[in-house]
Amino acid sequence: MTSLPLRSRRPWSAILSVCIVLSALFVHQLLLWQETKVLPTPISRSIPFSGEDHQLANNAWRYFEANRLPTGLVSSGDKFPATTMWDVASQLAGMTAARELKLLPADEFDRWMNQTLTSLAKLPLYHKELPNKAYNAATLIPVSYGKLDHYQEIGFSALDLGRLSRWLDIVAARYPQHAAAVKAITSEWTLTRLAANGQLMGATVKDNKETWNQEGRLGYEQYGAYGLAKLGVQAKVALDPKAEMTTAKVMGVDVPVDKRTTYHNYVTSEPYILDGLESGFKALPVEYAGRVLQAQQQRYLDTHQLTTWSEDNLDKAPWFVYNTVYVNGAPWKSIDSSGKDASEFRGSSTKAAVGWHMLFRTRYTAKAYKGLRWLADPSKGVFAGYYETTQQPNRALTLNTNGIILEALLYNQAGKPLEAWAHEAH
Amino acid sequence: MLNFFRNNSSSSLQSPGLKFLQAWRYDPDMGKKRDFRLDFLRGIAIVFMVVNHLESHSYFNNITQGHIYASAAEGFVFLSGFVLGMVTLKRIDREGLKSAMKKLLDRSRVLYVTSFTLMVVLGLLSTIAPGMTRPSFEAAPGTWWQIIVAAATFHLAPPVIDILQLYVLLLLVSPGIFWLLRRGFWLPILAISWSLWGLQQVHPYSFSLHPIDREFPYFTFATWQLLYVHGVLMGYYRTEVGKVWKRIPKLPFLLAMGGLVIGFIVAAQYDMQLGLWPANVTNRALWLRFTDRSINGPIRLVNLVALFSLMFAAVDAFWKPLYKTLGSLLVPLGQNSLYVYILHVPATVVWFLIPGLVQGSAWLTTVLQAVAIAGFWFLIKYKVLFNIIPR
Repeated sequence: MTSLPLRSRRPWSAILSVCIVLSALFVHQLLLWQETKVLPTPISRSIPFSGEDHQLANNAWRYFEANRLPTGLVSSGDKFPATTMWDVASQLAGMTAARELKLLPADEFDRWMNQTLTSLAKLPLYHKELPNKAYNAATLIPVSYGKLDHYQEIGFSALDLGRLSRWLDIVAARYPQHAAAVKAITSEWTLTRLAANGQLMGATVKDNKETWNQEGRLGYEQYGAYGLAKLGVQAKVALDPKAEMTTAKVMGVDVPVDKRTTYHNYVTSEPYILDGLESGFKALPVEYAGRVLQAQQQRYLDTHQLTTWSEDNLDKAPWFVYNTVYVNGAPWKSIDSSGKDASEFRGSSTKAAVGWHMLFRTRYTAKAYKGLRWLADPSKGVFAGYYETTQQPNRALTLNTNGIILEALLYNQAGKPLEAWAHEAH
Repeated sequence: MLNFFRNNSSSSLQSPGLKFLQAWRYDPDMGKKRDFRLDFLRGIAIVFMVVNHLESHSYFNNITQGHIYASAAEGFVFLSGFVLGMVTLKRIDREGLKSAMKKLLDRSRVLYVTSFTLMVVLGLLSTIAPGMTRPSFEAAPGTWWQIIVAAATFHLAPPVIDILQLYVLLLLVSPGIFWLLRRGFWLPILAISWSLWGLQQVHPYSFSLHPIDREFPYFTFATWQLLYVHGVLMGYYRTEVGKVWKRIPKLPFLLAMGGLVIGFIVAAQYDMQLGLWPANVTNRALWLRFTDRSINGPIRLVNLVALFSLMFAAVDAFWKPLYKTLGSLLVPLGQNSLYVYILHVPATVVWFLIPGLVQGSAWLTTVLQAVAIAGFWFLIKYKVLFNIIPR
């Protein structure tokens, strides 16, 4: 037998090998260029779940089962029976996903949905006009944030109602048996209070005095306005993403930001992800979403920290943080609800990692998804994310995190935006 | 050929207390044409694979699943390359390069037809009887014509049968590998192999097809070729590799490998339990990536080197008692592994069709798995359909 000696043709062999490795490095640079410079496009096909995807869905659904209240509503935080209209939308999203992913039998879904919609119809409205910003989800009384025993009307949020409108529309279209109950809820709302001069309007009560102000900045604003348009609310300026848009350079990426300075102009993942999942980027341009994602990817390449930043509850004070790609003139800032610096609590969101991946499935989103999807307690639900400074999980368990994760998984199963999926003949 | 690794551990077996081990070692003159140790190892791999695919809570599954970052597939792919390297070298000498290469392409064609047939049959069945083709297809992956086109163009990757496509591709590139080897270009082959693997680590699935039934194929060529190529090279240069192996002091080497394997077994028990280890989220994400099976991350590779070395050394050192107890079962299974592989596909489908087995009693499923393995062994013994089913 004649295998040629290992040393034969050594010079040519070595030269050829060096050329091959150099070619591989060149291909690496090309792929890197493609990954960082070419904007991603959304996935429009259904990809069968892996075992890990199923586990994630089960974990997220566990939160719903553990926090379902007799009213049909689900607590917005683990064992904390409050809710907002934003959270109710996440509840409807999670329930719909659970039904379609066969985590919740159809008859039980109908019972639960009926109970939920009935409770929503019973909610005492702020000034008998619109749903209050917060409610006790067990007693259905309007409350202020965190004070669940005291009846208090504190105003309404156009953005929250915009998200809820999107999901009421999806539920009514996909499950016609619930359409009348949905109609009964929104028919009580005084829609004229939600817009003025083409802008979205929200109300806040302070010292028993209401202020009625423009609400929303680029991202959340268009997301909310698109939802309210389904009820006939005309907010043309709010719907236009270019109306107040400028760009800011964040790690070499031109990130779309709101040029108004009268309120925090958060740039974060959530509105882009939600608009992509629900409407297929009809409210916000997919290009903007791609850039917001690209900036986060670039941060990962520079810092090796998986970056999927969004708004999040925390498992410790100050309890809530906006992790922003850009806000108030600076990149990568984390601020709490009052606008104070909260960079100590910065970190990535599990829901954003799942959402970005189900939408775009790039090599970076796959890394983030695989890196964060295990952050869960299978008996309680999926955790909000992790803290960069301590590298520990942020064990906050919320309806919003778990609802959005299920919503993103449903998008994957549907293989198309959920609004189109709900309205198609079935 | 057969004295490969013959003296591999003699230096460590000189002490009188260990002399009895010499009597247990593999005798290279045992087989004229085959190395039975490799058949034995392939037998272990095929039994593990059958047990894993007949999913259940059986006692066998307790042994075969999730205890270390390795599975039967890695062993198969490496050993296939190793055997092919040895056999093809002889064949080239005997018949010439052209004829030997034609044999490889013929084998690739046979596997392609087998893979296509299995995928199309199960895929089409899934369109008329959804839920009856698990675990390969949970539901129909497309319309009938999409299934046929996808199966023909490597755009289906159903669990249990997807590895065949990898073998088709590996055999297809093998003539190129041997052509380079005949010219002594083993270093460029390694450079290509490691470059592909490296690109796959940094840019996962960049060179993968997008199957219609899952996000990426599990047995991606860029990842798995590394094991095969190293197998081929080691088989082809077995004499030279044997000399290198001989120079390695066995006891410290095997102790180090054993330490690594124990370390990986411990790590594998903890890495899926939140917060235990690695507790740092970024490190943990990195660890999960480095041990990811579908991209054969670097930690997984180190584990495989340690595990393969230990297993080979153990089979070699304890050959006689092992062969006496398990040889007549494992060697025929290993020698006919493709045959068993093909037959286990319908067995797996039937297994999933029987209600309650996947979640069923440990005793019952253990017995049934044993019956299945015995059944394959009898089919081999009586050469059932040997003229039809590739081996």
